[in-house]
Amino acid sequence: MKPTGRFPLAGPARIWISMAIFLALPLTGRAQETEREFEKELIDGDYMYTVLGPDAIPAVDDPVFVSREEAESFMDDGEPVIGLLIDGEARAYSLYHLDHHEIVNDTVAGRKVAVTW
Amino acid sequence: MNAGIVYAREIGGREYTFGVSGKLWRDALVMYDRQSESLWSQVDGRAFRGPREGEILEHIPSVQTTWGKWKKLHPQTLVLKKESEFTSTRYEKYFTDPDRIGVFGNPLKDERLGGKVEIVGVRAGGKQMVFPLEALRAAGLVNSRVGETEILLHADPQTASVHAFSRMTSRGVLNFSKIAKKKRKGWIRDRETGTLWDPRTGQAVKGKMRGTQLDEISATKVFWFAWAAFFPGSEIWTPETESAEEGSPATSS
Repeated sequence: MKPTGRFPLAGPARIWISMAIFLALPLTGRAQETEREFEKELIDGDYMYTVLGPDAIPAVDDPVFVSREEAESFMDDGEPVIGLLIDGEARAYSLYHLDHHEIVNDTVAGRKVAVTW
Repeated sequence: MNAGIVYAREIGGREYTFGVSGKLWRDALVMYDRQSESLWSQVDGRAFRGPREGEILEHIPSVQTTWGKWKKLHPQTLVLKKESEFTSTRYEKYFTDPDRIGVFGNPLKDERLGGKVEIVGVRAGGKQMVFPLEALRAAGLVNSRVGETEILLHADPQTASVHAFSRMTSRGVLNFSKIAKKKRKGWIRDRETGTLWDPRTGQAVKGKMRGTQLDEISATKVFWFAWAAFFPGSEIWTPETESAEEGSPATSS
């Protein structure tokens, strides 16, 4: 993985390391043990690792919603969700679904919100 | 991480849209905003790199529950449409393996609790307190204090979610107790005015303070290791002999 140069990285020089890690690699769709090199940068005493390029996991920018009745076709009762209630407007976001997006940029009852997972 | 967190993506009239940076810091999601490309940490909502460095996103209360429970409470709910069929989590092994701490296996910085212990972290006035979820659920209702802020925590057995409110009102600090009667819909009562409250919404539903709304406080359900990396000075709550059952002595801390 190459540095993207896209973000304003300040501070100490970038360091490349090799290590065995557990990586939940969203591109392959499953967790795996792997040996890879990652760019890392020390921030406030902890390394920030660049694991993927920006938007490799695509946030949802134009969320589409359906009614509860319609959702029954793709939701299970035991499925974990984030439930959001703003001014009487209720929304549910499946965590199985959010695994693939991690962020939903939404507007609920006029409030601009980011649902993150 | 296992943390679902909702933020207002507007600060001082400026709107942000967020993307996934592909970076991990302290084993947690790093977001970037498409407007300034600053980097924000998901756990505390703070920009730590870029033009917006130092800005903090406002936390919006949400719950983590199941579809079955949520739709019962909110039959009118809308649901984010899936673009394809996702029927399980790809992180299941990670979530359930107690020895797997974070994606990079960073050492746990604070061993007061196990790394994979689920906790609810509460922030108020620059202080943080951590409530181990299991103990919190056992207690159900907790009157506590974080720094100078008197708080109430409620673990809802119906939705398995946790709500936090300030206990400070126009009538002073209130102390809440569960009501033994089953038919009271899970309402609670404050000792000072006898008002009945709904602990899921923080609203006074019956009595002298009816119509009053308690201020909701940011409470985040997350694995201990992730919280400990961001908030090393957190106090950890332990259930005392205190009980929030009616008739027990008043507790204010």
